[in-house]
This record gives sequence, structure tokens and C-alpha cells, in this order.
Amino acid sequence: MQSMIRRCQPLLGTFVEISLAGDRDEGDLHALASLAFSEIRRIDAALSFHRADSELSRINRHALDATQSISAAMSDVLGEAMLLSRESDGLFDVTIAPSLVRIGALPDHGYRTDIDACWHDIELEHDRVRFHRPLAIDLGGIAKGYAVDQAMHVIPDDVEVCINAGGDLRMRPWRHAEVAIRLPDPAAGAVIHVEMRNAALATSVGALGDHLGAIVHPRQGEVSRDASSFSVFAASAMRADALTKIACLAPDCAALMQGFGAEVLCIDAHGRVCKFETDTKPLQRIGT
Amino acid sequence: MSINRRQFLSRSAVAIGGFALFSQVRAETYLSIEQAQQLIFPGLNLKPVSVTLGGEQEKQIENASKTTVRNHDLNAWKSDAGDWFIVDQVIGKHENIDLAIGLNGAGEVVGIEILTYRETYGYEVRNAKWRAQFNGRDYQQFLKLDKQIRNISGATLSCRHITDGINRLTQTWHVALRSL
Repeated sequence: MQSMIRRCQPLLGTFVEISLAGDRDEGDLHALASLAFSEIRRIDAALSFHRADSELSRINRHALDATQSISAAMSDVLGEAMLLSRESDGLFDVTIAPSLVRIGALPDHGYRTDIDACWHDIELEHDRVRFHRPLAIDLGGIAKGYAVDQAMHVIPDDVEVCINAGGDLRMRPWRHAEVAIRLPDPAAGAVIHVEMRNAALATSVGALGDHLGAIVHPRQGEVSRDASSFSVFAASAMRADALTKIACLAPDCAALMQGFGAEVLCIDAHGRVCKFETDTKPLQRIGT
Repeated sequence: MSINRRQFLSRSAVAIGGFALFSQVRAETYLSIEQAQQLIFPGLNLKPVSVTLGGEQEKQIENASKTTVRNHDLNAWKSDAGDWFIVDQVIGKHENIDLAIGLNGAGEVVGIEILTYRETYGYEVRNAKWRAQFNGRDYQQFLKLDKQIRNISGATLSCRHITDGINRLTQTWHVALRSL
């Protein structure tokens, strides 16, 4: 019996939507969706900057004074973050938290921080972390994608799935699937339709708008003012999520994207697709 | 239960009426009230309870949650064990959401499900300058309420209004439901 369900819960500071279809009854699919939501809640509880009782908050409070042991989830995300920092020469940097606190995008937990501290000052071994300068980590640019990836793993292979955490989405199967991307100004409401080019897609808008968060340049400390949106297709939602931040700050990052097996789609304020980094087939735009 | 549901839906219609001038970009229905009850409290017998908030109670709830109480009559169900199931509406700047929340006997949140999500952007749609950007192309085509749009990527939408609404409902439990 073929069934399909869609669920939505407020998690990760946004709306997380899970769509499942498969040769199961609806009750089974609902149970699987509940399991996936639980997995997202578990990761949110560990990686949240906002929650004073999260694993991340413990690290931010104590990792300068003493080496902190970390969970597998924290190890995965910090490991990927450090790799991206290295490859982007610091354009992606999770130590950006103090700047985000300053502009009011994150709550102030009163952490002591050094303005010159950066990702170089984080010492990560696979299950331990230590800070060498006073700093604070925010995983807002990468954790949503990771939560989506982990939630995908709890869904069996015979079930078709799409998990969309406020625009960071991953699906299986993904070939020939169509998705919509909003114009950069969310108030405009309009969308363009494109075909999926990898399993995951994430979108970020540089300019501070009527949406969550902001992208701050790690070296210049300024909020990006670019009104274009950057969508990244990649094999995992974590990678797509993080790479959109780099794309917003360095639109000429073709080589880096290629190195990560990712592709970038840039949409300007008027809905024009102005750039698409690829050495394969051109973008197929569906409908309008 | 069915009467309660009709009441709720007619109230929703009034609320949407307030947005009549706005065009709707997206509307999504995820669950019925009955489905949400089964998911949050599987197998539990929930009975509808008529609860009307008094002026003093509303003031207390508003002070404690720093939100506005819009509905004086609650859409509430209770189990024999003292669990509560409430269906409520959250109206944000650009969204209008029906949600279901389950609270246990201690007033703790045990489940939240979005029932329907409606985006109500539209001012910009009527704005001539914005329309002109499409050079005479039929902008309705851009904005059609597309049932086929299953997955949208874009700048992340905040669920802050939902968080406020959940605070309001947990305070409602403290002020009005705990003693029932």
C-alpha cells in the first residue's frame, strides 16, 4: 500500500518539514517521521548556541580553561567546520559568535572573548576540544544541515524522503526532483523552479532581511550587504549549508566549490539567475 | 469534537479575512486535529473541555508570556490523567499558523505539531514598482499558489512567533488549566 505523509514542527529556530512516501501504511510513516524529529531535537539540544545547557555552551564556557570531551555529533560538525575554514582560508569560521552577539543575532551569555581569536585557536582532536584564546563558537552556519543529514539516516532506504529545515533540504531519491527557490527578498514571496542537482540544497541571503541570522565577514567584521541569494547543491546538507556562507562572502569561489563537489546558483533581487558554477551541463530552469 | 472543530475553522476564516487584501503565497495542511491528537497522545481518550478565559486571567497570561491573547475561548481537550491538548492559532508578520500542543499533567510540553501553515505575503505584490520588475510579464505566474511546490529553499524563516505562542499556551496552563 503506497502512502505519503507530510509533517512540520518548529525546531532549530525554523520550521522543519518532513515528507515521506513508501510502501508502508500511514502509521508506520508517521512513526518514522517522529523518529526523525527526535533526532533533530537531540542534535539541536547539543549544538545550540542559544541554550545555556547545550554541549556547545559547556564548551564555550570551559574549553579555554580545560580540554573538553565532546560527543560524536560535535566532533562531526567541528571537524567539518575546521576543514571548511582551512580550505576557505578562514572565510568560514565558527568563532564568529561574538560578532553575531554584537549585532543582536545571538543572545549574550557573557562569554569572555578576544577580538583577534579565530578558528586557528581551536584545537580539535577527534573526541576532545580546547581553546587557546578566549573565543565563542556558533554553529548556526552548519548545524541545521547536519541535523537534516542525521535525521535522513533514521529513515529506511525503501522510503522516499525529503527533510527541509527552513530551506536547508535533503532528499532521497533526488534525481529529476524539482524544487523551488525563493527570491532573495522573502517578502516578495516569489519563487523560481529548478531541478535538483545533488542530494542536498541550501540557500543563504547575504543582506540582513526579514529572516533569521546574518552573515558576518570573519576578517572585516561587517554584515554582508549583498541582496543576492546563493544556493548550493552538495552531497550532504551540512556541506551545502556551510558552503552557502562562503558563496555569499566570496562569489568567485568556483574552484573551492568544485573541490567540494558542490555547485552554486546565484539569484539576484529581481529573480535573475546570474551565476551558476559548473563544468557540467547548464542549469535547467523549469517553468518561470 | 466535530462541533469544536467547526467552531475553530470558522474562527480561522475570520482571522484570514483580515488578510483579504493580501495574496497568499503558500498554504500547506499537514495534519487534522484528530491526527495530531493521535500522534501526541497515542491511544489516549481526550474529551473536549469548554474553557473561556476571564479578563484577569488574560492579563496574567499576557504579562507572563509578553504576548497578546487573541482567543478568549480555548480549543482544549483533556485526558483522564490530566494531559491537555490545545489547538491554537499563531499570527505572525507574514504567516498564519494553526498548531497543536500537548501538555502533560505538570504543564510540560510533550508534543507540538503544525496543522496548517499559510504565508500571507502580498503587499509587495500589489506594489506597482515591484511588479514593473517583471517587464509586463504576468506576475501572477510567478506567484501562483502552486500546489506542486513541495519543497522550497530560501532565506530561513524564523519560527519566533511560534515560540511566543508556545509560551503563551504554557502560561495559559498555569493560569487557567492547572486547577481544572
